[in-house]
Amino acid sequence: MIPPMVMWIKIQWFGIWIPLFLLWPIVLVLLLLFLPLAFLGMAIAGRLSKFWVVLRIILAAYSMVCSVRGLQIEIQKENRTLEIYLP
Amino acid sequence: MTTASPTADRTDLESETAMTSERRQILEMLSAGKISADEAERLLQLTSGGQSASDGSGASATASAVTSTVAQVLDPKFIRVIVEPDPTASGNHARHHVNVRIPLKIIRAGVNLASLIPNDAGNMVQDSLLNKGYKGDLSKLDASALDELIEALQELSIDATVDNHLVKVFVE
Repeated sequence: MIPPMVMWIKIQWFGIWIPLFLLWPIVLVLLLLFLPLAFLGMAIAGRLSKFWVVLRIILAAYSMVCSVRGLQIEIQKENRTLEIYLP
Repeated sequence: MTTASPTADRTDLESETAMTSERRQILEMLSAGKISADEAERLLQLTSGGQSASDGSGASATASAVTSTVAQVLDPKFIRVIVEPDPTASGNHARHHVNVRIPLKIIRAGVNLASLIPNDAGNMVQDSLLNKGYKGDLSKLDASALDELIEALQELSIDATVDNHLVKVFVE
């Protein structure tokens, strides 16, 4: 499963490709920093079972993000336009 | 005088066999109710196009196109919602264009994510949906029900006229 790498968004006349691939390494680094801390914190608090729930939520959220690939939204109402595309 | 080579004959025979197999598969899908008559007609047109092709490569290319189309029909990837102004409608009304393509994988991922929602938060979501008029119970939506839902979506095709707009919903 690969998350979307770019996103096209257009509002009215202004359209831009957003490079999502720049975001994922940052998210990965933050997760690598956060998860050990969360594990330690929950182990000290004696609520280690919650850590596995958090881990499952993160994995499910990642799966959700990956499944968004292919989403296409185009809405035109008179002079207003909104386009979102995740190839 | 030209004669066809044995290799060319074998290629033609393989293409013809593949085409017959594809036609049989299409007819079986139609009789099983997996595809509509329109979809069957479209697929059969593709196969007949391949049979009329003069060379083997054209026939085999069409056969592979049919195979991919059959796979697409049996395994749809997206729900498409299209809203366009009704050209036959009269009057000065707002004209909206909507074209939305939603990956079906989102449904499965969403259910997986929803299954992790704590009970308290789930009840709040359920209450909000009830207030909006949705009477289903999300907690009963599990993997098997989801498979049935996605299978049922394969036959989804809605054509409606709402507020001078044509609304089409289908899977592709």
